[in-house]
Amino acid sequence: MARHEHDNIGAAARLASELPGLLLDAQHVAHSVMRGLHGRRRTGQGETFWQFRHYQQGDSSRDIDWRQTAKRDDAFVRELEWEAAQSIWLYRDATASMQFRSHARLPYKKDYAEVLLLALGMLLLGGGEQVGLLGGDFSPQAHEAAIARIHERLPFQTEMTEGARAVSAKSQVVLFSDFYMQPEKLKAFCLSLAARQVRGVVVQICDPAEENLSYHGRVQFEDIENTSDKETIPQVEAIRDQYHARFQAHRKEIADIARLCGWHFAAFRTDEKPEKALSEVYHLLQAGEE
Amino acid sequence: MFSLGSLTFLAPWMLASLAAVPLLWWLLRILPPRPRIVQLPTFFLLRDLQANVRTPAHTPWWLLLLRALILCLFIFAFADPVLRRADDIPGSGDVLLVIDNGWAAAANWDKRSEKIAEYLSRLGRAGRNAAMLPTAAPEDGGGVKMSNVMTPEEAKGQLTRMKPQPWPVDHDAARKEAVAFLEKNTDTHVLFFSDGLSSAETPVFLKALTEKNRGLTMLRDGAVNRPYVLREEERSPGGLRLSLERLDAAGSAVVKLVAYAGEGNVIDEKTISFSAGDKTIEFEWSFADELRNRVTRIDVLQPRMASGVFLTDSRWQQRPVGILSGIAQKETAGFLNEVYYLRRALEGGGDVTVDGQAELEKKELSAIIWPDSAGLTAVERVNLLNWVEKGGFLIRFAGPNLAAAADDPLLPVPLRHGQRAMQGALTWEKPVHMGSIVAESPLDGLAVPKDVTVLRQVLADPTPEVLEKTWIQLEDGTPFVTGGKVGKGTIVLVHATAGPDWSNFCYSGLYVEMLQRMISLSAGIAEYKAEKLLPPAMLMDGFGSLRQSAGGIVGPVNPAQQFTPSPVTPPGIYGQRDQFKAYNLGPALSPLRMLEEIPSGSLEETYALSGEESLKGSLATLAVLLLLLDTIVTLFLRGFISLPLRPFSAVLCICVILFATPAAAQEIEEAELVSSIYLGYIETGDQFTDQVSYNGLMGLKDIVNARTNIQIEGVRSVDPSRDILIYYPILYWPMTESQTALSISAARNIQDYMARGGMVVVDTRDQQFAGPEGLSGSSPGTARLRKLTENLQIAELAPVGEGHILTKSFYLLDDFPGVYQGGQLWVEKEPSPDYDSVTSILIGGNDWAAAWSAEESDRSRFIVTPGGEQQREMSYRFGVNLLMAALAGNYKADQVHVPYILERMKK
Repeated sequence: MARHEHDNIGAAARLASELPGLLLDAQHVAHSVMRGLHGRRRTGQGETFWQFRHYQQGDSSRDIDWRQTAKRDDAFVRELEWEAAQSIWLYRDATASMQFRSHARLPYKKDYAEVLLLALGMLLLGGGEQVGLLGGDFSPQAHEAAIARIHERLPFQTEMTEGARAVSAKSQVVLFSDFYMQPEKLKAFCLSLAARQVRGVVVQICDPAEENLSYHGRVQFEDIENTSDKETIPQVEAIRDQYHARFQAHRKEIADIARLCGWHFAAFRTDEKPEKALSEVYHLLQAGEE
Repeated sequence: MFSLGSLTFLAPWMLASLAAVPLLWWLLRILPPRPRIVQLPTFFLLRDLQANVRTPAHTPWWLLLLRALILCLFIFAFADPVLRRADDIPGSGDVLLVIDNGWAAAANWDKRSEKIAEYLSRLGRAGRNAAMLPTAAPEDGGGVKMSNVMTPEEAKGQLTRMKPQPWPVDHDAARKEAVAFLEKNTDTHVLFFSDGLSSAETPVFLKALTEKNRGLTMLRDGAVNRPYVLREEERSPGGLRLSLERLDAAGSAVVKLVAYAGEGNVIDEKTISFSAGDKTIEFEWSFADELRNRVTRIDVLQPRMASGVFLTDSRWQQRPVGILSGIAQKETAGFLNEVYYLRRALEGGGDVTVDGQAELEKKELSAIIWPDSAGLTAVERVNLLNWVEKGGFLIRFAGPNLAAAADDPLLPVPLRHGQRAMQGALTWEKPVHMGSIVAESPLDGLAVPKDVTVLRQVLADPTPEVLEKTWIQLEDGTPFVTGGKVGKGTIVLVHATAGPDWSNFCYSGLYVEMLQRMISLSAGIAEYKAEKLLPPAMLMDGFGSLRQSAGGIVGPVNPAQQFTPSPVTPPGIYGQRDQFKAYNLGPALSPLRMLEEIPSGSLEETYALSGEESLKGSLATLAVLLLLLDTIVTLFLRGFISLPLRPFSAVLCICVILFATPAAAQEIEEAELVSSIYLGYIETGDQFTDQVSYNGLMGLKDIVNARTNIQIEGVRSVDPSRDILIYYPILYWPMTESQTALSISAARNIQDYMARGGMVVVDTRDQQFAGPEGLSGSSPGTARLRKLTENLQIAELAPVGEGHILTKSFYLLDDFPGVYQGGQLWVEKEPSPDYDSVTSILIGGNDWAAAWSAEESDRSRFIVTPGGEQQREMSYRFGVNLLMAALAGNYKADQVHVPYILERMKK
């Protein structure tokens, strides 16, 4: 599958000018999802107080909260919130097939993916996680400034490879793409990561027209990545059902690969609200931690 | 040329290209529309699908049909189709158009010229030329003259400049012109556009036109040739007698006449109905006293033509009055002088001369007043009697001189010798009060004041004829004013002095009104003396409009001679300074005779247009529209535009609004009526009255919006049998002759409206005829009111008294004038406290809507009598008060106490 090159200076400048807007969108999306999250509600080795509980055999005496114990009859242990930092690697597909929208009302798939990626990054940073770009030239960072860095490096992420910094073991990966590729390629990539106990979420982003083939009558279709490849369909309605079956089969293939690696799979359409997608992906990530 | 029924193709060979339509069909079928091109990321999923679903690509059949239709429409359009094509004009050479453009052609002149223009178009199509012969003499005095032979286009230009002239056609002169032309052009066909009238020369003229078997087409039409002639008959007291003649006695016709005052204001209007067989109708038109002298012209409203205009002149409007005086009056000064009272009473009423009999006789006077103190010699008496017998109007007052005189012939009734004194040293009798005005006497309708007493009077001999001649009686039945005919004239005797010696009559309003009424009964001054030539002042055109004389060939009129309308002396107003004489066209015309004898062998046609219509434009437009539709459909099919649901629904909405069912429209209207204030008036069915009601309420609306916080949105007409009335704060209801009594449902509707706080303002519009007794009287409007409201239950009524809410709801008012002043206003005696004690009905007769009506383009304002613009302002104020009371209730009634409250607060 041919890659759409982004090294064109004009395209880069255009992208760069779009990014602040993207960042704002992402912030907006992240904030609206953040409002629904209250801490991590899990006991761990953090600094934030979580709860008191009765002393049980096996607890270290260092954990006993003496002030609380003195107030009551029983011994109490002070538990802190779980705050182990995770590394999360983010990826969004930038191939030509992502540069598509079927209607001026809808966002490009790539833009949708980038907004989701940045918003997820903000959300995770807010939760104390380390966030980095897959194939980037820096390791995941927990610092707030990481989002600016991701934002800055995003245009240079062009391929779904590990790059200079290999994905560390036991970390997590989030892949945003339409996955219109050879399933074998995805399978090989995912399995290589899964071998290192890397978990992940595979997020498929589609345009509604791709899913439903919502065209009518006589249409000449061209491959967006190779326009000389064309096919005239005399009656789109006639093939819609067959197409739909194929599309679902392809999606199932992708989902199966994710399941094979023990990863999660989610699919979103660009006409859905990014907030919904974000919170779903975020919860899938949480599930991956356990 | 190729015809299909009423359809003719002027270029039928174009139809041959219809053969190309199947070719188009075939071409479109083998060339399918270009597909829409879509770049799709999921192309790989489609790659091997196409094999099993490929179907042959065709243009849809309905699109094929549409395109074939477009092509057919274009072909038909270029084949130049004409609907109801008129026949060609016979002959092949030039055509002579003889056009009657005398006074009678002014009736429906537009239809005539349309028909002539249609003929000229047909001539243009056939490539023939035309010559025109107007049969009335042109206004430049050149005499009837034939035009040159012109192209039909030039002829059309000349036709637009042609107009009907206010004098008769001259068929004799026209014959000479036509014959001279026809001698030279032997193959000429003649078109005669007749006005339907036949004069003595007409048969000869027609014969000359058909000589040597020349073709003649006669155009005459009972629907277009409908001239009316208005003539004045003998004057009648209180009005005038007119006659209206029409050409064709068959069938019925309704003609509307309008009387105008000097400034173009409407005074009154009248409808004359001809039934089948009537050729001339004589009718009498009476006016209110003050209005009659202000009539300057009377018009037939439709058709507008010079023969339907009756102009009045100074004979009409000026009624110079002479007061006889002797040496005694010249010496007696001030309040003791009878002449003083007479002059005061006649102030503003026109021209008053005080002089001796010999001097008065030299002047043109319509009435002479003879106070008793002016003694006349025997010769003077004889001269005065002669003057009366010729048509003069003498008003004589009694006094000591008359009482002492023996048998005087200058009296309406014989008198007893001496006088009757009611108060004095030797009598115990009390002064006698004024009694009543005898019904059907010329003074009927005037109000009798209660406080007039008579101390002395002369008594009439109680003969039976005295009763008939009595105009006003005293309380005890003795005649106080008597009058009767003497020769052609009238003598009236007032049985007391003109001054205060015998009675306080001269201080009363009746004294003034009586004198004015009497003078208006007089015949007006006689014809002008014959010796003077009258120069033209205002001249009439063929349609009866007046304009300033522009000089030219128009010469003065000799009043001694019979007036004949011609280019030198067109009808109009002649004279100088204050001596104007109107020369109307109607009286100068002989009775109308219809043109019946048509030369044999001539064709006959009417003025109705042939209705020829070229379909080329509409077919081409339709084809272009369909082409546009085709483009849209094609774009849609190729996916350049998707189904635009939202714009589509907007279009649908617009369609729904445009073609909304009446119910939907009514809902919208009701919402509108609820949210803003509208004034309503009840439709009378009489177009004129309804228009006046509308204009009046619109005028009131503007005043109220400008002066008060009330914002009125508009005015609606209301049909009580159908509409919901409750939205309107007031309902104005004028009474007309033609209205029928309310239907049960309409009456219930109005009853309901009144019961729920509405206010019905009933206007009988006849204050000028109403007596002082108002509603209990028998004026025509009151009778109509009774008839119309017989299904309504109206609560007990009372006159509007002092302090009533209507006198102070916005302005402080004493009376409520409209076009007329005075008269009583009646309201509910005990209005329901549920609705703020505001009356639900108000009845008056001052014709308010006419006074309120604002300037409008086709009808000017109505004049308001007698107060003029000040009275109009007061009528507006009444309107504002009326609306304030209707909308704000009795809230202003409380304000009466404000001065007292303020005073108390100061303490």
